[in-house]
Amino acid sequence: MSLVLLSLDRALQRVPQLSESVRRLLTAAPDGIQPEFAAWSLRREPVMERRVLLTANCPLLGLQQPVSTLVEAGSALGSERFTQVIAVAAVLDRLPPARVGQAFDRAGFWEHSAATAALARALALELGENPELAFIAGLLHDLGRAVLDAWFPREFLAVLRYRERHDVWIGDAEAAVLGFDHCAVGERVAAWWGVPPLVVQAIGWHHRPDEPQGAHPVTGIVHVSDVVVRGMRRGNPGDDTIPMLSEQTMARLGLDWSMLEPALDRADRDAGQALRLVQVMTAPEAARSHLTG
Amino acid sequence: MAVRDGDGPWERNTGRGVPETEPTPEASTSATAGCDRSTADARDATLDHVFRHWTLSPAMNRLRRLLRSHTREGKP
Repeated sequence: MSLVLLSLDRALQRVPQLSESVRRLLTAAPDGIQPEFAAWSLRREPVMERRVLLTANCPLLGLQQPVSTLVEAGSALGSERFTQVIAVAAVLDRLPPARVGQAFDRAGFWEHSAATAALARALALELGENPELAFIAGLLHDLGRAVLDAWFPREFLAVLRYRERHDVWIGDAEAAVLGFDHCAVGERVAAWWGVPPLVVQAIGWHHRPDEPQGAHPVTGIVHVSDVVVRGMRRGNPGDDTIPMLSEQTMARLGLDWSMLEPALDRADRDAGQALRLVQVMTAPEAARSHLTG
Repeated sequence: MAVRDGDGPWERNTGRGVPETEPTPEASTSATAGCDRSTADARDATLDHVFRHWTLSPAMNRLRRLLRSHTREGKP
């Protein structure tokens, strides 16, 4: 029996907002957060500060030298990239750790996200697009699924059971059981939390990258990366099927098949670093002592 | 047999039989490049499984060949 929620709006009332200081930080400066403002806003949030610095120091985000303060991070990254880094840290800080014995493989889910991020970054480099934006959008592209797992566990379990019983792509199972899919959930929650708009677009449209008017190339890059990584069975996005690769998106990106091979090689080399980032950031509370130290 | 999904752009396999694939040059060299035949066969079976819902469009067929080639080179 389908378990259709009354409406997405009503369902999302279950999802908590970010802390007031983090939300204010992300929404107060849509054009980019200034380092001093970040340091002031997070002065009483040492865990978030550590998360931002851990993310900023990930080698895939382009810093040549490690940074040890928010002001240093903001100055080195530039305001746009700094904002994206804060958004990643805020989202991963907000999501509760996986529950023991749960049906959804959260570790495998983040492994898929990290592999998608590494390939998205590699494709962006091949295409002359923004590699850090692609990495962050790839990392968060399935946010909606993490939200469903975290705050709709009963409904999401019904999705997983439907998917298994009917052997369908999990997005179809979400639509059948919930009446909406993880893209809609992720897009709404990310926008509400103040995630930068280009990342929100990739979250919302990575399975329909040709639909938004004037879609940003990174949305298409995340689409291609997600499909390819599913084909490679890296991690566990929730099922073991592969959605259709959009040829229209590849043409729009100017993405030739010959570009995919070097991108795959680069992504193979970088996937470990991406995975380490998400493993540190999503570790259970007991294993997060380094975040406060 | 392919059908077009009512609410999406995707061409789906109806589920009867295995996905259609075209013979590929790699198919005859599975034991030559970085892994033994049983490993290569297992990887092919995995790909067959992942692509099981699709009657392969040119793009999906090309993707499948790319992934087969990439995983055969002994990469993780």
